[in-house]
Amino acid sequence: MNFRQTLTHGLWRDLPPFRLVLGLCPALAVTATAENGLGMGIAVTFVLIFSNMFISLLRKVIPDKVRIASYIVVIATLVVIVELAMKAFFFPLSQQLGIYIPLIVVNCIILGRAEAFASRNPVHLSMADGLSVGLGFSMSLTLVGSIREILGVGTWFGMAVFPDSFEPFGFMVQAPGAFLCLGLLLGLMNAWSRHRGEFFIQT
Amino acid sequence: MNPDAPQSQFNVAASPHWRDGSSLPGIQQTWLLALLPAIVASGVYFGFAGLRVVALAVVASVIAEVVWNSLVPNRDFASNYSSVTMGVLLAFLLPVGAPWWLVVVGSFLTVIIGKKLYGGWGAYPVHPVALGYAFLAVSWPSRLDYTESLVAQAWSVTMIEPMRLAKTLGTSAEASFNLTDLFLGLQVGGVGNALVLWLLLGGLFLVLVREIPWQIPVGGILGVVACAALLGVVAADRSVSPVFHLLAGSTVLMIFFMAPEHTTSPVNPRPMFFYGLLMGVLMVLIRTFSIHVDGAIFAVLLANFFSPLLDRITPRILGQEVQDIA
Repeated sequence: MNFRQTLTHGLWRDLPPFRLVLGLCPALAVTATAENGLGMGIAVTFVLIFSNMFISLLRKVIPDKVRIASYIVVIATLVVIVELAMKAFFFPLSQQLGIYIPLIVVNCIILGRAEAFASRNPVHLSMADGLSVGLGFSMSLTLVGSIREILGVGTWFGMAVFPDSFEPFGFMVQAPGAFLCLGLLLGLMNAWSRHRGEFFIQT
Repeated sequence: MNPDAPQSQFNVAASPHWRDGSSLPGIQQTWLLALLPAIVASGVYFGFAGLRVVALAVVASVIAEVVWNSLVPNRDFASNYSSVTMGVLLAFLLPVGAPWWLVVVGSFLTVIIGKKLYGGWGAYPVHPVALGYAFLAVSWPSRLDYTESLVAQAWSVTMIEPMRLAKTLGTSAEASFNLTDLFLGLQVGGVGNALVLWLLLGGLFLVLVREIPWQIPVGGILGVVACAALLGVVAADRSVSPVFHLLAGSTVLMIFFMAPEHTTSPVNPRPMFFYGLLMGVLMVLIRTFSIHVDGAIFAVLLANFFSPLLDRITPRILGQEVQDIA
C-alpha cells in the first residue's frame, strides 16, 4: 500500500469495527452517548498512532518470540498516559468511560494493527495507518453513539433534538440497543457493498 | 439464483413441516378466526377503545410489511396474512389506552426487526410479537400499565391487575378476586390478553382443527399447574394457587396462541410437550420471583430459545446403533 492508500483505508475499506470487526467491546459498551463515543475514539486514536510508531521503530529489535508481550508493554504505557491525562483534564468523561479506558490495553484493534501492520512497515506508514484506523474508529463510535443518544435520550452531544413531547426510546441506550444498532449498521454496510460489488463481511 | 454458486447440500425448509392441504394464508386465516371471539369480546368490554388498538396495530403491521417488501424484495409476502395475525396479537398485549405512536412503533418493531430482518415467516428464532412487546416494555414501561389505562372502566371487580396484587400481597391476594370474573375476562388487563373464556374458545378451536398440536397447550397447562402446586408447598406465602395462575393475566393467550406459533415451536411431538412444560414452569417462576408483573411473555421468549435444543429429543431407532449427529 502506498502512503495515500494507507492514510484512507481505515475510513471505509477497513473501517473498524464494521469491516475489521475488531474493538467490538468498546463499540458496544461506551456508545450510550455521542460524547462518550467520540471520547473513546480519540483516546484509542492517540494510543494507536503512538503504539504503531514505537512498535515500528522497534520492529527490528523486538525478538519474535516475545513480541506480543513487548507490544503490550508499549501499549500499556501509552494507555496509562491517556488515562492520567483524561483524569486530569476531562474528569467527567473519564468517570463516564470508567474501566473501558484501562481496557484499551487489551483492545484488539491496537494489537491487531501492531501485529498486522506496524511490525512490518516503516514508521511514517505505520503512523498514517494508526491515524486512519483511529479516525475510522472514532467516526464509527460517534455514529453509533449519536444514533443511540438521539433515539434513546432525545439529545445529541447533550443538546435537545426533539421537542419536549418526545418520549425517548429507552431501549437504545441499554445494552441490547447497542447490539441492535451495531448489527443494523453492519447489515446496511454489507448491503451497500454487495450492491456495489465490493468485498463484504460474511459469516 | 446464480447457477455457478455452490448449492446447499441440505435443503432446510421453514416450519411448519406437516402437510394438510392448506396454504400459508389459510393457516393465518384460521388463526385470525380463532382470535375473532376475543376481538369481538374486547369490543364489547372496552368499546371503541379496544378495537382502536387492534385496528391500528393491524394497519401499521401491514404497512410496515408492504413498505419493507417494496425496499427489500423477499419471499415473505404481505398476502400471507402473517403480519395481520401479529398485529392482532401485539394489540392484545397493549393497554386499552395505548397512545397511537406506541402501537405504531410496536408494530414496526415487531414486523421489521422481529420478522423481516430474520427472513420473514418461518425464519425467526423467537416470536416477533414477544420481541416487539419486550422492546416496548423496556422502553416505555409506564405506558404499558394496564391498571392505569382502565381507571375509567366501571366494573364491580377489584380494579388492579391480579398478578400485580399477587406480587405484593402473595397468597392473600386471591381473596380479592372472584374466579368466575377472572374466567369471563372481567379483570384488569390489556386489550385482549386477559379475556380468558374467549381466548380459550379460539384456542380449543385451533386444537380441534389440528392447527396447533395438542402437546404444547397440554404441556403448558401441566407445567403451570405442577410448578404452582409445588411452590404452594415450598413457598406457601408468596405463591398463588394453580387455578389463579391459569386464569389471571395472559396465561391462556400464551399457552394457546403465542407458544404454539409454528416457526418458533419444536417440530416433533415429544419436544413439543417438553417445550410447553418448560414454558409453563418458567411462567410461574417469573411471576413468583422476578420483578416483572406478568412475566408470561418472557417465558415464551425463553422457551423459544430452547426449541432447537428440544428438537434433538428424537425416538431411538431400534436395532441400530445411534451415532452422534452433531
